[in-house]
Amino acid sequence: MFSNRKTETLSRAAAAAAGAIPRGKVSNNHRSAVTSHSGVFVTLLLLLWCGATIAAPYTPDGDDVVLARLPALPETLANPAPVADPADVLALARSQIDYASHAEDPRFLGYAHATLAPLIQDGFSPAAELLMARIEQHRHQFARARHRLNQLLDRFPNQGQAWLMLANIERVQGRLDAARQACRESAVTLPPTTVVLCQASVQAITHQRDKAYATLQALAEGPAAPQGDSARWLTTLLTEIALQQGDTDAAMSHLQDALKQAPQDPYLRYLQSDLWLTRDQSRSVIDDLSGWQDRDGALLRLAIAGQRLDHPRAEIWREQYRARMAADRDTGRERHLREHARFLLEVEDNPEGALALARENWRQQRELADLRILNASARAIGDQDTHDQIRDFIHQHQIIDSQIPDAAKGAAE
Amino acid sequence: MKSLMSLFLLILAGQVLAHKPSDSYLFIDSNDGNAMIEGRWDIALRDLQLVLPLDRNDDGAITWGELRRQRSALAAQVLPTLTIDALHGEQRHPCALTLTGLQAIDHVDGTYAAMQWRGDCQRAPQQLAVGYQFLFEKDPGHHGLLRLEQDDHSLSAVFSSRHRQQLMGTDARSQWQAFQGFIRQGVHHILIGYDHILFLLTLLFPAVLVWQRGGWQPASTMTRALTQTLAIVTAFTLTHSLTLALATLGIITLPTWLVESAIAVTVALGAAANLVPRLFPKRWLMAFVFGLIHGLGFASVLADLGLTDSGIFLPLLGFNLGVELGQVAIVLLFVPAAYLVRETVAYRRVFVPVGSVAIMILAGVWLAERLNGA
Repeated sequence: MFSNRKTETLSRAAAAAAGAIPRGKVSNNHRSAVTSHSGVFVTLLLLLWCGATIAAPYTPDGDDVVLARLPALPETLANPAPVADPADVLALARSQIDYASHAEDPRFLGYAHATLAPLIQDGFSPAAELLMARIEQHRHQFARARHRLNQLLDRFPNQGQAWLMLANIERVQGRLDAARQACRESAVTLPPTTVVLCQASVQAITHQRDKAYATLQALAEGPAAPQGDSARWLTTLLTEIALQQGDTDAAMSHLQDALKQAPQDPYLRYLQSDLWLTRDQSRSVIDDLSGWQDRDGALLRLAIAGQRLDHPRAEIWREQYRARMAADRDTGRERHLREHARFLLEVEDNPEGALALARENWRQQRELADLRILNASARAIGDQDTHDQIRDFIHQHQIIDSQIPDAAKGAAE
Repeated sequence: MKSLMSLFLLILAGQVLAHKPSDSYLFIDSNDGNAMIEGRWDIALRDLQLVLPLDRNDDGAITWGELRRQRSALAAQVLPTLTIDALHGEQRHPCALTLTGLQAIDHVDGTYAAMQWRGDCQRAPQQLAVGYQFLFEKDPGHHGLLRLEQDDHSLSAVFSSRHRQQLMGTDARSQWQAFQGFIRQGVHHILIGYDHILFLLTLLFPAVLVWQRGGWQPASTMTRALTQTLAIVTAFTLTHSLTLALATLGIITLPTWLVESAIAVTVALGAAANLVPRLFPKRWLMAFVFGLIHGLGFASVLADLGLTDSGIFLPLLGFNLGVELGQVAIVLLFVPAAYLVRETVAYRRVFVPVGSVAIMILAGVWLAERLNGA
């Protein structure tokens, strides 16, 4: 039933051509197909026909065939000893979430969830609730995270960190006034620098952008310049604002500062690639992200850069991204909608599909990046409804961004 | 400052984690009338490693040999986290699952173990209750993606730590099954409903003939015979469908004895029309009017089959469809045969009149019985 011989052969050839099977049994015929363009074309058809996510099972050639490599983990995460002490539980969960974020591996969010479970069930541990909210936020379960934080803050209004997290969620979901309010509340326990950063992150996308930029620059150059994570946050904000202003040179310069502090940070690396893409430096994108092909964010940018350069691997990247999109759809998880919309618009030349996803995404997330993809998709097919919606949002919050024509000069005009 | 440890991560809320979350793929294949089910369960090796020590030599790589050597542990520890019960009516039969094969399979995010299994359910399942407990302890974010192939239908469902049980085959499939059941009932009823058949046939007897010069003459062309047949059948269908619907929806209610007796009268009148056609010049009109009564008769059968308020439309449609299918079958058998023999004296002078008289007598007997039965 599932091991239909013909399907197996075809889909294995297809998977091999797509680079999905670097090992195991692939006949020479299939290998030669990989190298030719027509082979790739046939492969794409086969992949579509076979269903991208479900190949056929096979028996590897020998016992020594390596099927999977486990991620190289720090000792604390590789074999975590059972923890009972709440402080240890929190520490373990925190490092699992940090790893999930750093390595972009959502499995570790699940592990952290399991780690926290006893504390969450036991009773009310603000620290555990905060970490759980972080997990939910990473999973894009914004409503759940928001509810959790609000409940926490009802009981413990002095949890500055919770206010900060709440401010962030409000900002991501486009409730900018609520975000500003939460930033103000966070001042109860957080240092003024953090509150300034929090407010600047909201102001950054509005008509107060230039003021925020000046404040941040003054902060960076002043005697109270933040260190560590705050410093990274600051330089990242400066990069983003410079990008909004359309000043890619300044953006690149800020970004390099940020990358010096965290060279492996995925968010910064993708920001860098996006900057290169706006400056037509697709080659740099490929050089920088080729080692990260197992990450969807990297794969998306590789597919875009590859297509622009007519790169030999462009079709493969595109096909792999398609397969991951299909896998996401199968799981029913609404992940990556913004990225998927961008893929459909920039790689697949499918603005209708892009707009549908961008609109779906807009219901959840309303950051500038979400607005940009929504706007680009709507413009591509001249969708007046969406266009009106965008104008309303821009006017309501006085959004300002060089990449969105309606907001280019500032909505105040 | 400890509270700032995760500060930077905050701005990344919109950023997505790129590796796939943990999902397993579970396929179940079930065939009507078969107590054996089979399927495949694909689990990521990374996930298996959490519950079984796959990487024995601790080199960070899982080889085919390392996986193969865990086959008995897979059968003993992993497969039992999946439970399947076959539901048959009120009964519940646990299906005994056995691991029948182990291979590897590539999904978008790497290689998975592909476990082939078979389940012995003792009785052929009408529905399957599937319970899934794998990995939730270790990773509450884990999902199990289920696809059930049942004959030519395909159903899917997702297991998560909050939804660990799925009842498969209750929605689309059983509705479709019920619909098919009502079609069958409709066909069955028209085929065993000799009063309806007789009524239809008496009207159709002369469809291949024309009344001329005081006697039945063969219809000159096939077209003429077909036109008459079509007119009669269409008229009958229209009105009986109408009253079937009205009665089923409760808009018309008449006592059964009255309806049944009236049906007997229609049969008798139909036969009389063959004998004295001058009194009944338009046969399609007769079919049209009497169809109203037959529809009420169908409705009582449909009511006996048991309908709920929640679903009247589909049973009604199915039953009606079945009635029409049965009717078409009768027409297709009778009319061509009658057309072939229409020119014989036996058909025109013997079969039609004698048959009609016989039917009249029979209908009279029914009428007496049904009136008495009341």
